[in-house]
Amino acid sequence: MGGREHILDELLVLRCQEGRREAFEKLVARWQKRLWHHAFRLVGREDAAWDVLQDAWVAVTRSIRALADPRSFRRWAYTIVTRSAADWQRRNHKHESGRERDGDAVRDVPAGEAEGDAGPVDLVREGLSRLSGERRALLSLRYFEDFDLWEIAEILGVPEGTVKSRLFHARQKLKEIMEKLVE
Amino acid sequence: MSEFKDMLKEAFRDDAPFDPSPGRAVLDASVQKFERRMRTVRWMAFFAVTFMSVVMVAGLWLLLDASDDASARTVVLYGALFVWGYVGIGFAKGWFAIMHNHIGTMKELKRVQMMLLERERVS
Repeated sequence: MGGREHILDELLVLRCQEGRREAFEKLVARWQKRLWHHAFRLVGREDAAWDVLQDAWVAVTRSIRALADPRSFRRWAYTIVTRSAADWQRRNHKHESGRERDGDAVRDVPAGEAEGDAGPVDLVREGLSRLSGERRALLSLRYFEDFDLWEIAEILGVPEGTVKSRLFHARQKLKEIMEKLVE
Repeated sequence: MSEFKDMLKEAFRDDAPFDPSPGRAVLDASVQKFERRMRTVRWMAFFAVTFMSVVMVAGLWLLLDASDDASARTVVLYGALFVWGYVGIGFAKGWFAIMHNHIGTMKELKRVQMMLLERERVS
């Protein structure tokens, strides 16, 4: 996302703080898809992701006026979605993503399951789909959304060192799964 | 590492099918919530200023109405009531002025930033 887009977001946040409805509408429209994907990666179900997002937007309306620095909106919004997803998981007791919480692939990966004509990106995609929601979300925050380590630490509410080690383990797990897929 | 990063980026681009149709309902509900919230904030501000104005006017009226034989304690009480209302209005208005000034200044800064970016892009 370029600098212009960042400034547009900041302007929208400032207009929201003034109480302008149309600014909030635009802000939601701009961020809905990205935040939904983050929620989906965490909870693993489409309908649950929408519930999480709905809760997150409610939390945003509650505290957007208190957001001192509009530049931090992106990080702040992801933090809220992460917390809403955690609340949703607590409410639903068990992790319903269909994937094991600790990060191992849910089902065994049969050797050579990947299709013969699948490209490397398809392979990575398949590998990612077998990771736990938490690990996928972590990898996407780092490599897709381009957050810094300290920002991810803030979003997930864990120390930076923990983020580093979790990222390392997520990459290792992905590598293992992909190796099994191509065997 | 960079190649791996690129592949991850590409893989994440469409890792989940996004159906925007439920998004409309989420958008409408969120906007309604936002409007309600902002209306509440406005009403609270209006109520605070009105309440403080009433307190101030009542304090002033009681102070002026106090007869010469009113005790010093009563006069001080009415005076305190007036001062409390007066300062309360001042605080409420001051807080709003500071907040809106801050937002206004930030908006101007962002506009300038945007103009500079546009100029940079054109040149």
